[in-house]
Amino acid sequence: MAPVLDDLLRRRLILVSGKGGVGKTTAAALLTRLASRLGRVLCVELTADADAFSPLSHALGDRLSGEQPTELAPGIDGVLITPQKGFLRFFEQVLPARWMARAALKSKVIRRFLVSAPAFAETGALLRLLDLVGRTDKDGAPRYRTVVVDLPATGHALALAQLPRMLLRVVSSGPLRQVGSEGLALLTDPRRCGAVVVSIGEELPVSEALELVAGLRRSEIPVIGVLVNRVPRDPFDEAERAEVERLLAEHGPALGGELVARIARARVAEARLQQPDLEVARLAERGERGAALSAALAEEHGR
Amino acid sequence: MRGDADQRRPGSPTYLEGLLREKLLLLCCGAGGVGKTTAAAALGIAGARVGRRVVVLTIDPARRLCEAVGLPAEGAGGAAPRPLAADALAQLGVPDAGRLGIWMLDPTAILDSLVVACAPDQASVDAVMENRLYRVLREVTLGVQEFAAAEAVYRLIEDDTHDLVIVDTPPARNALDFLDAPDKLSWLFNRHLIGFFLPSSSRGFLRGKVHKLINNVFSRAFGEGFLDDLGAFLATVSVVFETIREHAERVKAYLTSEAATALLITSPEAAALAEAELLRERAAAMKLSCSGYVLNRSWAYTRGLRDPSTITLCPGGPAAARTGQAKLVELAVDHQRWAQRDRALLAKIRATMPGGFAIATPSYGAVETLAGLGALATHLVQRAESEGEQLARARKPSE
Repeated sequence: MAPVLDDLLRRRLILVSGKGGVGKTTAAALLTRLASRLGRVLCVELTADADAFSPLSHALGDRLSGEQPTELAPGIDGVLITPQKGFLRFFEQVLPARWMARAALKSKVIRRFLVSAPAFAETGALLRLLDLVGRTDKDGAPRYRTVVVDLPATGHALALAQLPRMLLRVVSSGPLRQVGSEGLALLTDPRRCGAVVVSIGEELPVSEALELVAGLRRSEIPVIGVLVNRVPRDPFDEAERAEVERLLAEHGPALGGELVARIARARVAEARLQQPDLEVARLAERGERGAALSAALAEEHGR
Repeated sequence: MRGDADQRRPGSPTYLEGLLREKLLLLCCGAGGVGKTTAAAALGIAGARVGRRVVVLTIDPARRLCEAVGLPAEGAGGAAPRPLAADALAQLGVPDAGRLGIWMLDPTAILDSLVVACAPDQASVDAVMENRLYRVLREVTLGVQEFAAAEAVYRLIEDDTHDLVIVDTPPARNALDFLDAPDKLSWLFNRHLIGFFLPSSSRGFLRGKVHKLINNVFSRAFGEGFLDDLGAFLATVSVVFETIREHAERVKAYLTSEAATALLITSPEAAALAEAELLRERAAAMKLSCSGYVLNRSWAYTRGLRDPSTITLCPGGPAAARTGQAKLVELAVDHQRWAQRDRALLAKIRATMPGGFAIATPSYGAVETLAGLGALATHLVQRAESEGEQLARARKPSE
């Protein structure tokens, strides 16, 4: 198994992010499948409403995640995180009576404030994540060995990473401040948490991946490495490559030439990821789609 | 779009060129990573080429794009668009009347400038700027981006120094937020709502009860004093909110008027296509018109590419030339297969766009250079035809 995957699977909480369209969800599904071989795993998607499309559960099979953890496959539960549920669970814990928690969220004013005021929706999501990571079975053992989170794309992921610190600055006392401390402790603990940035071998996604790695590290989130997705098959050895490039230059544009150029771009982009402190693993481009794709990748990388 | 399409002569405007000439706002929507920002920039160039004064608003930081058009990436945000230099415009073939500006959305700058614009005096400005919640909000910018985007669009449509605004929206799931921002704002920054959070003097029985509940819940959950902070925050910035709300209403009306239309940008990836379809439904529900589809990064074009198996190698050349060529032929088979797939996909999309256009752009890789963007702009304008135009062209194969 690639060291970056192996390293990630040692953590309790795996965060997956990257530029839009690079295959974050495929990578999250792959990690979920690999983690399920080691123990029960929960895969998590963040959403504004529970009826929204759920790409991660689609990448794992036919069953859909709900607001409550739902079994998607043997050993794999899926859940959609909504801010409302996070606040409900939180209020149930901190308010003296359950009716008060329900009344609070029944109030249109409070509910809508919590989901639409800047940063509150994200706070609700963090609350729910902590709640789910902390789940235990009757014997007190953690319910899930691994929790895999399919985070939003770069900008939003960075903002989420800053959230616990923001809570600590804004809230001076009370249980929400404690949530900030707990969140910060979990997200910055290299033994419990690991982030992976997904990219493809093109110039802009690689630039964005490097920015995201730097940004997450500024927030002290342990970044394990980068997964380069959809790596094109490179059939050439160095001598052949030189000959083919000469051929194309001499005889003008030929069919297949754009694929040669794409392979060259991927090589250049990947070279930029070769940095100290950054492990890189490559996921080859494959013909499968959806659940079959993540299953084939797990087969390939699980060894 | 028009019945006279069959009279179109070579060099006469295509449907997209018509949009670039007539519309005042084009909204580029699509999933993340499909090349939205690049498409928006190319459309901006195409607009400037027909003599319009264009501003492209990008929501994602687009460092590479700024560098490509010769703008310093640092500080490209700020409170106003940055115009392209005359020599860049000349290189792109923009006529004298045409202008192009790029504006990278900077939520913090927009928020601050609103505070300054709305406050009656310097003391009020200082009060807001010193508010703890405001300072955190402007730093974290969580959830602020969408509101700021609505305000930026408002400024652009109110400013008559440009006549075409092209908006590159945030990636899909957030793009929906952007379209929703006005509604969210009108609710959130409503005076009546703010009233619930303020220490009150006069309130009816029901409102009093809600306030009490809020007070109870917030002080227990968020800590003593938080509600006071929040109340002070809302009170000091309520004027700002009110202004944003009014502006957002105007943006919403504008987006659904004849002046504006949306273009869906996608890649051939299934997930991107699904998101584009979702956005299209959402736009329709908002009564925002949708004029076309751009299928980016496609492999649809094979014309003018020779079959690599027909290349004759020099006898006695290295073995690697022969094996390399054989492998190139395999790649050519792949390209051919992908081309068929993408053409079928484009035909399918086109069938869902009666009256609009659907166009594929080639998989060039990075086009983020001045020449690359110019070439993409040419491609878009020349090929983005409505159905009527295509029929007309099919009848005149000489074109």
